Order: sequence, then C-alpha cells, then structure tokens
Amino acid sequence: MQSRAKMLTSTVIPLAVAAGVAGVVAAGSVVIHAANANPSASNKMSNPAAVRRSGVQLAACNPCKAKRGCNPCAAKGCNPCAAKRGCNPCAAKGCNPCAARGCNPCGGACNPCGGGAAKYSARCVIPRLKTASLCNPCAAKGCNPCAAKKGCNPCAAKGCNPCAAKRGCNPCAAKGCNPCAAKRGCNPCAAKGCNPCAARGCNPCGGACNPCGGAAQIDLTAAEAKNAYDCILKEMGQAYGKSGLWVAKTYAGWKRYSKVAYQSATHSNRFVQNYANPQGRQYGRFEKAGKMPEGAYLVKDSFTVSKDGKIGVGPLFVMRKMQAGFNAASGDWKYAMVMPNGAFFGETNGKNSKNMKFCIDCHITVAEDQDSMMFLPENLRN
Amino acid sequence: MRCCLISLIVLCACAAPGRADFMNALSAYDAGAYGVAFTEWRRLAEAGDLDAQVALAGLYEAGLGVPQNYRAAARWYQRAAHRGNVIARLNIGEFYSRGIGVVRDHARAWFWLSLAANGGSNWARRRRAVLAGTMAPGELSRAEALMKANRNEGQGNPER
Repeated sequence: MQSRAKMLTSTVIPLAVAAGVAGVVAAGSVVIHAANANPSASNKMSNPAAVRRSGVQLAACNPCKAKRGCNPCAAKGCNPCAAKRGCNPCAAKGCNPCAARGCNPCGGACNPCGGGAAKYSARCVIPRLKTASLCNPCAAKGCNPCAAKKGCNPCAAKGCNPCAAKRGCNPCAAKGCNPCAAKRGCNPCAAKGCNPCAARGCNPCGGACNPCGGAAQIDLTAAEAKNAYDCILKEMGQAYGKSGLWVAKTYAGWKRYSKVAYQSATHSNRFVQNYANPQGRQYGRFEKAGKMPEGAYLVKDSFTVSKDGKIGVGPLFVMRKMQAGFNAASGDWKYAMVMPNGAFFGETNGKNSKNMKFCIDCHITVAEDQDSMMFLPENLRN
Repeated sequence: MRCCLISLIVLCACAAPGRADFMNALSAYDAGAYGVAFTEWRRLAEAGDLDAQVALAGLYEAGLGVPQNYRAAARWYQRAAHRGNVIARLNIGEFYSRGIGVVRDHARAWFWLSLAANGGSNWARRRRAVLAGTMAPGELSRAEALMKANRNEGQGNPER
C-alpha cells in the first residue's frame, strides 16, 4: 500500500535537506508533509550542488551583500540609523541611505522591507514560525535586521554583533559556525575577507554556506497549512493567471482532493493541493481510479514557506489526459508547468515539448498501475 | 541549396544543446535546485535565449538561486519585452506600475501592459484597465504618445 501512496507529482527529485527547523516546531504539531515513496525517483539527483537549496531563504538574510555602497550596516560604524531612529533603517525614511539614493538592497520602490510582489506574500505568514525566528538574526527578518524586537535587535544589542548577542538563540555563535563573528565581531556582511560565502556571490545565510540553517522542510499543523493556503490562494490565482492558460484561471473552482495543503518532497518540499476537473472526478477513487478519460485535468498549485513563516507562490503543475495515441511515452498525458511569473516553457507534444520530459520521466514509473497518476497519503485525502 | 542545408545542420547542432540546457535548468527549478537553474538560465539568457531571459528574471524577482534583485529582474524582463515576449511585457508593465526595480512610471506601465494585451494577454488588459483608472490625464497622454511612437517605428521597441 505504501508504494501506492505516491504523490501526484511532476518531479523526481526529493530534497530532504536536513534542517534546524525542528527546533521551532511546536510539540505535538501535526506534520503536513509527505515523502516520496518512489525510491528510484529519489536517487536521481545526488549531486550536492544540485540539492543545494540556496533559493528560498537566500536573499532573506543578507541585506548588506547586494551593494557595498548601499550597506547600512557597513557604513558609519554599522548602523547609521540606530542612533537616530531606534535602529530601523526601513521605518525611518529620512534615515535610510539606500532608499534615498534609489539603491534599495531589498527591492521595492522605497521600502526595503516592503519590497514588491515577488518572493513572499506581503499579507500571508505563518505566525508561529515568524515568532520563533525572531531571535535568529539571519532567518528572522527578510530585510531589516533592526526592525524586529528590541531584545532581538542585532544592532542595538552588545556592540552590534548579531552572533554575540544571544548565545541561547543564535545557532551560529553556539556552534562556532560564524567565521565572521570570531574575527570581526560586528558585521558579518561588511567583512569581505571574512565572509567565505559573499566572496563567491553566495549569501552566508543560504545554500551550502548557510550557517543558520537553510531548511528545506517546514512542518506545519493542519490549521497552519489551511490558513496559509486560504491566504495565498488569491495571489496564486493572480500569478498563474498571467500565463493566460484557461486551466490556470479555472482550476480553483474544481473539486479539491486534498484536505489541506501538504508538503511534497517530490515537489521540492513545496506545499501543494490536488485538484481535478469534473471529467477527472474518478481521481477521487485514487488507487481504484483506473484509466482516466480524455479531457481529465489534474492540477496541483503550490506555495513555499520560509523558516521564518513567510509564504510565497510556487509553480502550478498541470496534467491533461489527451486522446488515445496522443503520446505513448507520456501515457497520453499532456504536462505543463506554470511559473509564478506566468511563464510556461512547454507542454507535451506542443511547443518545447522536450522541456516537460522530466515530468514524464517521473510519472512513467507508475504508468502501468496508476495511469501515471501519483496519489497523496490516505490521511490527507479529501 | 547545399549551403543552406549545411547552415541548417550547423544551426540545429548549435541550438540543440541550448534547449537541452534549458530543459535541465527547468528540471532543476522544479526540483528546487534553484542555484543550478540560475546558473544555466543566466548563461542562456546572456546568449540571447528569450525563454531563459524570462525565467532568469523570475529567479531574480523571487530571489531563487540568487539574492533577490528587482532591478536585475526588471532589466531581464525589459530585454525580453523588447523582443516581444508577452509574459515579459506584462511583468515589466507591472513593475513600472508598482515601482518595483524601476522608478514608478504609470505611462510606461500602461504602454507595456498595452503591448502585452495586444499580444493576447487578458491579464494585461485587465491590469491596464485598473491602472488607467488611476492615471492622471498627463500620464495617459504620455502613454499614448509612447504607443504612437511605437506604432510609427513598427517594431514594438520604443525605448531603445
């Protein structure tokens, strides 16, 4: 049975990167994620570089790296705003040397914390993770190291050393994993020679150089997953709608076959939900569904959650059952993936069909028994 | 004729690895290996691959595989938009309308959204309608002037 409990997926690469997230998970919380039950699939990419998950938290941590001249910490003894406005370079407009020159390290028009529409939702957040991350100067604030709480202000506290400040809550200092704190004692971003990651264009808080974690797996309770999904759904619709694809505009009105958003290891630990159109209703019979009829759509929308609880839109995955003979290799399924910026780069037997080959390569493993469909765990089925 | 055939073969030989690389990058993106995707797409984008330019802009915009950089995202969207990509056009239009990575400019936003709408994007059409409701008369006339200049040039690349 377990082997059948495979996720509907279009990828083959689980990224179960061990992370320090467990420490912030409330005791007794229901874990909403599912591992890939397909061992062959899980071995397809073992290259460490390939599994380096440098993306989701990458930019969240290093507000200083982008532009040396724009580093509010490096300049003038670390934080030029601390003295004037209580150490908040974002809130204090007149005090933000970056915004004034149109040099915003975090993007956006003039608020380096507000940013734009992209990486994470401006509205949606997982409160528990956000609270837990406040004492981690790297994971906590995507942009403003000073905006958090007074007690957690890395600039105000003890001579501006984010690592020295709180032994108990600073995973870097505790483990001696912050090479900058030891040498410079103050600004890990400003110290070029001291930051082995920055030198290579790598954020010290992301990827392999991540001294603070860089978790790929975030555990949410069912309630948290529900709230997160309900909050981000509208933004997902906006994002996918850019593609102009009919299915991207329509799918949210179809029956959903997952109770709540769950974390899919085969989708890079994104949180996903499963939908099918009326023609695909027999998907709800899961392992007993048999061959799907022509015209059936299976759709999975996705979102990401950062360690500090921020929520961002992920890709939309689409399968459409075509007429017999459409494509033997794909089991007559047409695959497509819509990026959060609305781009889609191919569909089976259509433009750039080869781009979707990786979907087929994964789903083909269950072609015979499950008509290339992968199913979510029983406890998450709706 | 033979020359054309040889050229075609050479072209195919050159193009094939690019598409394979793009596919690998897309696969890496799907797998969450954003650093790999970024490296490949940047290389392809710099070589002029239109899809890679849009994909790269998306990575910069979202901060995936690279620190978030709206200005870089805007630059790549703009490059792809100049070459007629509808997704790039609607995104750069949105950037201009909200002042993301570029100085807010409703006239340019309206202009790019219009080009995207003309390219078939209903999303851009709706967004443009909303935007138009917030624009001052001067902005609208400047936007229309941009469109007119574009039509006169007949190529959709008015900002060169």
